[in-house]
Parts: sequence; C-alpha cells; structure tokens
Amino acid sequence: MTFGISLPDKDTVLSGLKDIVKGTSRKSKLFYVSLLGVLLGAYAVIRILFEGHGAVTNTSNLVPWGIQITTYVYLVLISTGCTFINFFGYTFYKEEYAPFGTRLLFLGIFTALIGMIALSTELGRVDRMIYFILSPQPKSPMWWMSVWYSLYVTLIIIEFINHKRGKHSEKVMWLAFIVAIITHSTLGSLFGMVEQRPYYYSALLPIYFLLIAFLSGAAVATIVVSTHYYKSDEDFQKHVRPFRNSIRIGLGLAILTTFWRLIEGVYAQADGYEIFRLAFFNTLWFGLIFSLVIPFIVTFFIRCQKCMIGISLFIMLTQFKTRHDLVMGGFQIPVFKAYSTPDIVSYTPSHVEFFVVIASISLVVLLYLLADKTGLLPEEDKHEH
Amino acid sequence: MNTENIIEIMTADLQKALKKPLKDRQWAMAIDLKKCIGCHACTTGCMSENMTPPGIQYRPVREEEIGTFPNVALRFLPRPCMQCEKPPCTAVCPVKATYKREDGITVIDYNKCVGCRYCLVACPYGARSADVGNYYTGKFKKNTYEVEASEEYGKQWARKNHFCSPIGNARKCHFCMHRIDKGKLPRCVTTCLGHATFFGDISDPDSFIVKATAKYNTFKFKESLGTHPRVIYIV
Repeated sequence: MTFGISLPDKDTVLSGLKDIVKGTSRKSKLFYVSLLGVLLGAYAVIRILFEGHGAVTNTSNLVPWGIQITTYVYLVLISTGCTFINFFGYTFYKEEYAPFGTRLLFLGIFTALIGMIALSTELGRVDRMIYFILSPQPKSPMWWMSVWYSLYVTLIIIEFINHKRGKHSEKVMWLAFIVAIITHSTLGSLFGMVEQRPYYYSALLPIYFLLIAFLSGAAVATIVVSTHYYKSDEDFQKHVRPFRNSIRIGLGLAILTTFWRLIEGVYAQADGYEIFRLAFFNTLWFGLIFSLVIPFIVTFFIRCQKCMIGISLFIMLTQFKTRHDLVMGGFQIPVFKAYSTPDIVSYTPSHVEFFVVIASISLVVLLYLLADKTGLLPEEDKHEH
Repeated sequence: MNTENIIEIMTADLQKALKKPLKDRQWAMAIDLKKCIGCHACTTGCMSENMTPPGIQYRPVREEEIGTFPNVALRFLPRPCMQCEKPPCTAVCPVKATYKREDGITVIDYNKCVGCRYCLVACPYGARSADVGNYYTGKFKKNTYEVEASEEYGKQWARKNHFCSPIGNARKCHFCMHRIDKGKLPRCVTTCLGHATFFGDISDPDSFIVKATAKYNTFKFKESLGTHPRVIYIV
C-alpha cells in the first residue's frame, strides 16, 4: 500500500515478469510480438526525428494528415468507449461489470496517452506544444480539444487511483463520463467544423464519434471479459451478457448514423460532395454491411468465449479501416487543382508510418499484459461503494 | 499606357500607401485572366524569392482546357493566397501562429507554428503548404541554394536542417510582405510576362488597382464561402 493505493509487492511483480518473459503461454508469445511492434515504433520515431518527417512519410500538401492521425482518432475513441462502458457498467450492470472496472480504466488511460504519442509523430514541431498554454486560441476546436483532453485524462487517472484504493467514486465517474462526452464530441467537431471539406463538414460528426466510441469500448470490454477464466459457461454468459448487448447497441447505432451520413452525402450536389459518390461502394459494402451489419447479425448466433473474442477483434480491425477511410475521405477531392494536381488524390502510408500504427497498438497490448501479469490489475475488484 | 509605366505607377502607389499607418493601407491583388499566358513566371519567381522547397508553390497556375474540339481554348488561373478578410485558416490555428496583420495580409509566425496542419485542412483554396523538409537534391546532400536564408516576414530563415523553421511549419503566400515593407512590389507582379498581375492599396480610390478593377468585370474565387478574398480576378 502506497498512499492507500494497493500496489503489487516486489515478489509478485518479479515472478509475473519472469513468468511472461520465460513462459511459453499465449500471453508470453503475445508479449514478444508486442515488444517487437514497440521496437518497430522506436525505429520509426528515430527515422522521423533524424531524417525528417518529409523524408520518411507519404503525407503531402494534398493529404496533410496521414495514418498517424487515424491511429490517434482510433485510440482515443477506444479510450472514450472504455470510459462509457465503465459508466454504463457501474450504473446498470454493477455485479457483472465491477470485476473488470480497473482493467477498462487502465486501457482507457493508456489508449488516450498512446494516441497522443501517435499524434505527436505527425506534428511538424512537437517541441512547441507549450504554445497551447502560452498562446491559446479559443476559436480553434483543436485548442479546446487539448483543454478537454487534459482534463479527461486527469479524471480517468483519478478514477483509476480510486479503484486501486478500493474506493470507487460515483462523483468522479459521472464527471469522467460527462467530460468524455465533451472531449470526444470536440474531436468530432475538429473535423466536422471544416466547411471546406464536405466529407467532414457535418453536425452529425461529433455525435457519430461518440457512438463509434461506444462501439469500440464495447468491443474492447468484451475482449477483456472473454479472456478471463470462468468456472463454467453459465458464469461466462452471466458476465458477458451486458457487453454482448452493448456491442449490439453500438453496432445498431453505428449502422444508423453511417447509413444516413452516406445517403445525405450522396444526395448532395454541391462542390466536393462527389466524394460520397466516389466512396459509395466502399462505404456501403465495407463500412456498412461488412463491418457493421454482418457482425450485428453474428452476435445473435455466437456464445462461446473464443467466438466473442473473435467478433470483437473483427470489429476492432474493421473500425480501424473505417476510421482511416473517414480521415482520408476528406482529402480525396483536392480543393484546388493546379496543373500537376490529380483529380483524385491517393495516399499509401510509408513503412515508417505503418510502424507507428503497429507500435501504438502493440504498446497498449504490452502495457496491459505487463500490468496483468505483475498484479497491477486485480483478478477481481471488490470496491467500497 | 505601356507596361513599364504600369510597374512604375504601382510602385509609386505602394510607396504612397507606405506613408500611411499600417491599418489604413489595405493590400489587394488583381489578376487579369485575359492577359495571363500561362507562362508560370510568377510561380518560379515566387519560388526563388521565398526559397520554397519541392512540393511548395505559393502561387501555382491552374491550366484548364475548355470547350470541345475544334472549339477549344486554354484557360489559366494563377492562385496566390487570397488573403481573405474572413480567413478560415486563422481561426483553426490552436496557438495563434497565423493571424491577419492590420494591412490585411495573413501571416504565419514561423517561431510559433506547431506544424499541426489544421490550417492546410481548413483553407478552401489549398493555398497553404507544409514544409516537411524536402530538398531538390535528396535527403542528405543539399546544394547551397537550398539552405540559403529566405527573407520571409522580414527575417532570415535558413533551411539548414529539419529542426530549423520554416521546416516543420505551414507556409503560404504573404504578398511578399518583406518586399512590400521595403517599398517593392511582390515578386509575382514584377515577373509577370503579360503584366497581368496588379497590386496596390484598395483603400486608396486613386490607386491603379482600384481603377483597373472598376473598369472591367471581376470575380473573386469561391466568394460564396464568405471568405471575402483580397485577390480579384479580371475577366
């Protein structure tokens, strides 16, 4: 115990580390794969720092934001989702959810922080971030994003510490939930307020981000719940039921918003809206049917632990591609065509950019595995309410 | 009026305007599309003046083929920064690194820009570029002209390595502010072969630019967006 926070003792940490480093279990293998991913990321960051952003990435004036921004959006939406699930779990399914609360918060904190690292690899001058404090611009959604983001991360860290002290606070949980809504709808507005990019410009986008966040959080929570040991299938079904329902609700809401966003875009005739027609089949078949409708139907027919992990991983993977399509869609039709500008802009990330993506996701997995094996994340949470 | 006189008249207008306080002079540019021959001299003149690296052109020229054979023609549209009166790019900058000067020029503080590129996303004209540290001669080998200092915004900006601004920053046309402040016309105005680009103070009713734009039909690019551009096209 340090300041009332329950931390694992030295022996538990050392034996956990030894177990994961020398073991042959699936978790050990995943540990080494994640470690390799993180090392690839370290290599990518070194290349960006020493050779320069322009030399190693494929972003351009036509595609100013690349796959690192996609990674940032993807990870912070997962973080928001974890906070949402934490809130709804404690509010509506306390008994089933409570054992996993600390784990979801841990993931919420680190997806938010690692998302920020991914974003920083895309900034031209990360050393000047101090100007967010010294020279604030309240008209900018990005500035508001930084304010709310800081508050959001602080709150979920406090919430996590409360869990580790065995004192779950309803007030902090409510505050974290409300600030998560504000923060991540602000992220949606960062895109949604750009009138010049019809693929982004929409009042629906902040709401869409929140719904997608809920879906991502539900998928992550289902993986966390389904990777645990249960005495019986009945026990597993009891614990997984709220999360399976959450995935269904998340998918249903995502289907609705994706469908109407697509239809409204296709219907519009103004300049720049041709992107919706250009992306119509990809959005319809991949973004809607393959990544949302099919998993929605499948959730009604699967029950086992492996199946739940599988469908959740499928959602996580397809959501990454959907996030990438969203970010890139804004740039496909150039706003000004000079003599050398293509009619439709394409972008393929460089291997360094791919490494940043792999490393960001690997780092989340690595930290979770280490926290799990060293006893930082308890098998069961018993809180004082 | 011969073309030499136009340059002299505009220079005299500029020097007259410089005697007024900053807020009382309002710079604007007019481009006569009937006179533009698509030679790209403005583009290259600008690139050499501002030492722009590969991929960055402050003033590209759009070339369009219009009509159907045999009735076809080429149409050119030079595009500097529109120096909008209501620029979408300044409001989105999270650190106020880009703002409007009192004389109407939208500037970038290279020492403050974090390189987030939100302004590139927000500009409806694609007038902003990110200097990501590219060189014409490759990654490591740089010719002397590539690291020589540009004089943008009245300061010296040498591109020695990718930790030196303007590398990592957003960049854009600033009507050659460093030249204007010294009483010289923007480089694109002086290099225009057809003398199709006019520059001056639109708050002065006697200036050449006001008279030239009053005489002909004009339009402003994407005016419907409510950005109120300071670049006027004569058709």
